[in-house]
Amino acid sequence: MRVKLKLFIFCLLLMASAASFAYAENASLGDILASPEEFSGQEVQIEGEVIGEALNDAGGIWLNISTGPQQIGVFSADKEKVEEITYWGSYSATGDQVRIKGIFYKECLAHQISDVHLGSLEIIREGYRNEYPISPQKQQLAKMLSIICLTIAFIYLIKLKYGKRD
Amino acid sequence: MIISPDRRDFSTILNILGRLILGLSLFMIIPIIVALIKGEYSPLLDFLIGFTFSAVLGMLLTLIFPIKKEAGWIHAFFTVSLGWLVFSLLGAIPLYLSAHFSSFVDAWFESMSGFATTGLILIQDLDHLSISHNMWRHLTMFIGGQGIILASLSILTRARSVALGFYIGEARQEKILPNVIATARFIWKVSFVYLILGVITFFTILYGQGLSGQRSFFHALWLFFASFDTGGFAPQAQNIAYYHSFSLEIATIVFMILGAINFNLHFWLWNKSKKEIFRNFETRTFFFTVGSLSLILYFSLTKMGPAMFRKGFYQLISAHSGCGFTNLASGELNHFPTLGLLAVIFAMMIGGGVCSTTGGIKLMRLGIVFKSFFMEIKRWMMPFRAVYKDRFHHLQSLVLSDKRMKEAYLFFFIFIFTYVAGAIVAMGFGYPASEALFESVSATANVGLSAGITSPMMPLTLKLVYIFQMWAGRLEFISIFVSLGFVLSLFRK
Repeated sequence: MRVKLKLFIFCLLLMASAASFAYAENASLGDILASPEEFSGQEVQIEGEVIGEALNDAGGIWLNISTGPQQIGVFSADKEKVEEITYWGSYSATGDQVRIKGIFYKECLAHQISDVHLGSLEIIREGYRNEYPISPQKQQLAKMLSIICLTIAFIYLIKLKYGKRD
Repeated sequence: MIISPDRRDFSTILNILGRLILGLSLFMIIPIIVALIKGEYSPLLDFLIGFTFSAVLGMLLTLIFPIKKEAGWIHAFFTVSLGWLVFSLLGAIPLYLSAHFSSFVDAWFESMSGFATTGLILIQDLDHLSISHNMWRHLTMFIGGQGIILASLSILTRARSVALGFYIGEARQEKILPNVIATARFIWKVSFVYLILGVITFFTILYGQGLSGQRSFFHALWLFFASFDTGGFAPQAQNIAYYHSFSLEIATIVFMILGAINFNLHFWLWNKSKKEIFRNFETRTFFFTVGSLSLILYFSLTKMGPAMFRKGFYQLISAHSGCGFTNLASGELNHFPTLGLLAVIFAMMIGGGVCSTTGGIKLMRLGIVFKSFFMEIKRWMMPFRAVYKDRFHHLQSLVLSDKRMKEAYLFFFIFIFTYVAGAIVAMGFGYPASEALFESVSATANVGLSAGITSPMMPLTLKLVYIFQMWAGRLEFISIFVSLGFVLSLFRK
């Protein structure tokens, strides 16, 4: 009977941990940052755009992942893991869309901030260079205002030179 | 007898305002140059539109409304209060055209936040913003921190007679040099020396981290604007957390504190006595408030362990200096225990030195409020006929006079009232009390830390309330109240 009970409790614990593991895997960055205590020390999976550039730090490298409203720093002890990233998000480019698996720490002992320690990185979609077509309306408005500005500046300068000093 | 303005006064005010708008439009040439160099042609048009529109408005006002009276205090107060509103509206034009804002009000909010050196943001997708727009966002903090009107005054030479009015109107109580223009130029000199030091420091750290030379330069420049002028904007959505650099955080702490120091104290440290830093009343008050609030934070965040310094102390200094930089992840501040959150709120309420770029009640006034309280207790303990006046040291030994106390209490209560009033409005929209108070204090004291309320989705009324709080808090209410008083006096005629 005691053995059966132990086995039952063991199965329950196994199911609970599997459930929590699966939860952590499917949780969004928003969920993780909303309840950091719940996820701290667990493996998480985050999908998002890589932003900016790789940043050097003692013993590794940082990359920043943005999901839109939320962002988080991901630390990788192995610099080679991030070498396959082609585009980093900025004004001129939309960064690669990546899937990160790693351990989330609410208060990382090594870095004293909330971060994710990279396990694996997979590129889901490669980024691209951004094109910003010039709006014809903006062009028209800028031209019109420039002409008005030059005309008034001319009058203004004439008044400054020949007008009565106030 | 109350002086009531007439048509000639308004003509004079609009003329001065026109000249100042022209000054502002000249600042827009900087992002235009950046856009040209970086080949950002769409943003170039945004700034061209902003520049030409501002220049046209400035010239028209100057041409249509001549100076009909010698400029005096009345004109100074009006120009200051109206000027900050107009500048923030004009500064919002290129931001709105960037398509990173959901409405013009959001762009206006961001622009006011920049000019008032607050740092609350409504921008969307900041990580993809152009370099020239980022330059403008950060430049607004530098211009605003120095005092827009004072900035123009130190370049233009014509409105010298009214310079003192502008100076006081922009919430600076102390003159450093007998001449206000000389004072303004000294403030610029100090800022430029620190600018060079700051850019070199930040550049070295960022370049070492792997940012390209050009990117390191721009980020260094912007971080300097944001830290020394206690603005709090950053070029990345994660703010300071983007860099993951402890040395950068320490460097920003140094420049935030330098920005929170009274410019008069800078003058003394540079030209007179270095010992003043330890004797000064404001510095002592600062050590006391930082010390006691750190203690509260320590007990509140003990669970964090070693992360307490980076997570807790950094936010405290950022709040106290009125900067608003943060190295926390999004929404992390909300997970602070209530006591820790209160410590940060108190730090924001206080702010830095008078005649600095910070907002809030200010160290001097808080110190006087406390000192007068203890003076009153001492007085009760003395013989009935005894005459007792306490003294304090601020550049020289000063008597704690009734006038000083009255002024300190007046500002103390106006600020407290505005903090609470803003919180009540936010609570009316259903936000929790602690977050509502946090955001209201952050807006009024021009700090920029957010408990999560400030977002493009917040109600329009609340956006307008925060714009008002940032504007009034930056100008320390008086010039706005005086202008309103003058307007009301028109109806009594």
